[in-house]
Amino acid sequence: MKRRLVTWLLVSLLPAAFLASLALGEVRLSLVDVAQALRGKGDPVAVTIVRDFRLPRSLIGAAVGAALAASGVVMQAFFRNALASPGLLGVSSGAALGAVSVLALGVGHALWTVPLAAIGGAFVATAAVVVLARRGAGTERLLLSGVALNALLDAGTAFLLSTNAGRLELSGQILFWLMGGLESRTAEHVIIGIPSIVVACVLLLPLGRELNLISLGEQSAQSLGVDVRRVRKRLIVLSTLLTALATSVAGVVGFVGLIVPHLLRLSLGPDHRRLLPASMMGGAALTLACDVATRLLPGGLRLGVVTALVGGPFFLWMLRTLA
Amino acid sequence: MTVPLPHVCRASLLAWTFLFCALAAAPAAPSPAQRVVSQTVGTDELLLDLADPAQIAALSHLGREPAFSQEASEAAAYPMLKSIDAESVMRFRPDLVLVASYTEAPTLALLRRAGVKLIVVERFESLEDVYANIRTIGAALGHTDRAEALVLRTKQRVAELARKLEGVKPVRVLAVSTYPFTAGLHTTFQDLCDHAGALNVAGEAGLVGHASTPDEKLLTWNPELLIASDTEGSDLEARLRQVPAYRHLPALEAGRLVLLPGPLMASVTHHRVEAFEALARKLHPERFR
Repeated sequence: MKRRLVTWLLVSLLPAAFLASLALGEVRLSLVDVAQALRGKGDPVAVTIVRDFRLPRSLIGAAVGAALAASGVVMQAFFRNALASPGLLGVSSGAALGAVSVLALGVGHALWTVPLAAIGGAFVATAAVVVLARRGAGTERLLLSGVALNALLDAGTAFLLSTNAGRLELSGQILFWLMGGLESRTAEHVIIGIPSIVVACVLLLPLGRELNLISLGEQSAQSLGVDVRRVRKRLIVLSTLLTALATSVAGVVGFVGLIVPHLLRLSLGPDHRRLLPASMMGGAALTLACDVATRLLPGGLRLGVVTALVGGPFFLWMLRTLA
Repeated sequence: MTVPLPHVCRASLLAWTFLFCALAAAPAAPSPAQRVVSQTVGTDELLLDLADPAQIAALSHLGREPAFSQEASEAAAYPMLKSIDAESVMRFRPDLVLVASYTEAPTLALLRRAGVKLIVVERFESLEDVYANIRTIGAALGHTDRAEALVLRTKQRVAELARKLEGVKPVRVLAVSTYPFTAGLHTTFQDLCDHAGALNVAGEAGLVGHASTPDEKLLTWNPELLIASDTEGSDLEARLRQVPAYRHLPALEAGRLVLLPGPLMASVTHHRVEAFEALARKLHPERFR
């Protein structure tokens, strides 16, 4: 009964959040205005705002949320650690270093350069993780390598930030990117992010059973007929790919991948066949809702700040509960 | 019966027809912008000085802050952008948006795709940059006469100041702040020094742009006077004494610190001439008696 209620809640929350993301913003538009604007009719300014500004933003918000939450589910099952999150293996840090590098080099003014550099940085980090995984590193070694990789890449970002601290506008751009955000997303961001995220999510969805078995422990999974090495590699590649793509189009957005799987695990149980699709929907709805909050709340809040404001207290509560 | 035209007449007729068609097809001068949104404080100031009030649709979100804008009180009469994103701009249905080179690429792309004309102010380090910006914006507003008059007034003030300062010994100065950064070459501060009878010791040492103040080298630069923005607060001198980089400077020990109005020190418009005059008066008061 509880599961059915949560499922229905998710099924209705996601479209509601998507509609809110299309309708709410600095310019007030009714749902009728939004519907007309989507068909290219009515006030031309409303058409521009809905079709060119808010639609790409909303699509990317939903895709980013789904990607981060799915990646979080995989990380938590894979490492059998409640505190695992998408950025654990250094992928977000790699994306951040890539994006910050092109901004610091002064070539971030072209529309494609920042997201593509972020993907490049994330892929370098992903490649390092995959090489480690291929060499048969155990879960613990992989985890520690992720910590080291994160520290290394974050040091690179901090270096670029400190050497450019005197260039105030550039520092502002870098800090904004590091805080994550969905404002001013364009069709190019949609092209870069969404098709690949959809494909990665579709490839991940059938792996729910394998995730169930792997979360029992590798030996148990092996004895139950899972090709652990192959599945491990596939899970790591898909999870890091999702994080890389999400970070490349939205910057570093924290906590979505951590709290959504936990929240849904509490209500839906630990079965990953249910948890994966539910987390994708929940992550999308939460990210869209937080993005709407950034537009409506005063003070120019960034998406990463809002998700942290929501996620931080939850994280502390979780630590307290687990202790 | 048709009378054949002589060759010369035919050629002349063809030439006149061609000229008429060419004139008719020539692009007309672009019509002046009617609803202008400015996204930066610098372009706010230019817009306020060059446009008719009816042409101003909205000014930047910092335009009303006296700490940033020299024309904050004038700006208060106009609507203000809530943020720097494209939707905030489009809300005012502009036909021209004034932005700076550091505006994020996606925002510029969205505005261009929305069919809005953009003027991107790329450079503002020198007076020549300022004159070029005034002329570009003046032309887009249909007020080239006002733009030329503003350039002329500014040039006259600069020339008058240069005449007063002729032959003075430049005072060695350093830009200081509790945030331990200073300004070197290719900055508005360097331009300020070049016009106010000052020598920027950071620029002399080859420092480019805004960079962290080098603690040890600083002692060898030997600035005679320190210059800071008055937005840092009246107790700035005491707070600077707590910054290791400045603590041992003879200029600070002797209390040789000049505060200039914050918006003037950071001005990227014609108002910087007021900063030149203000600093010159402090450094060379004998030339203003």
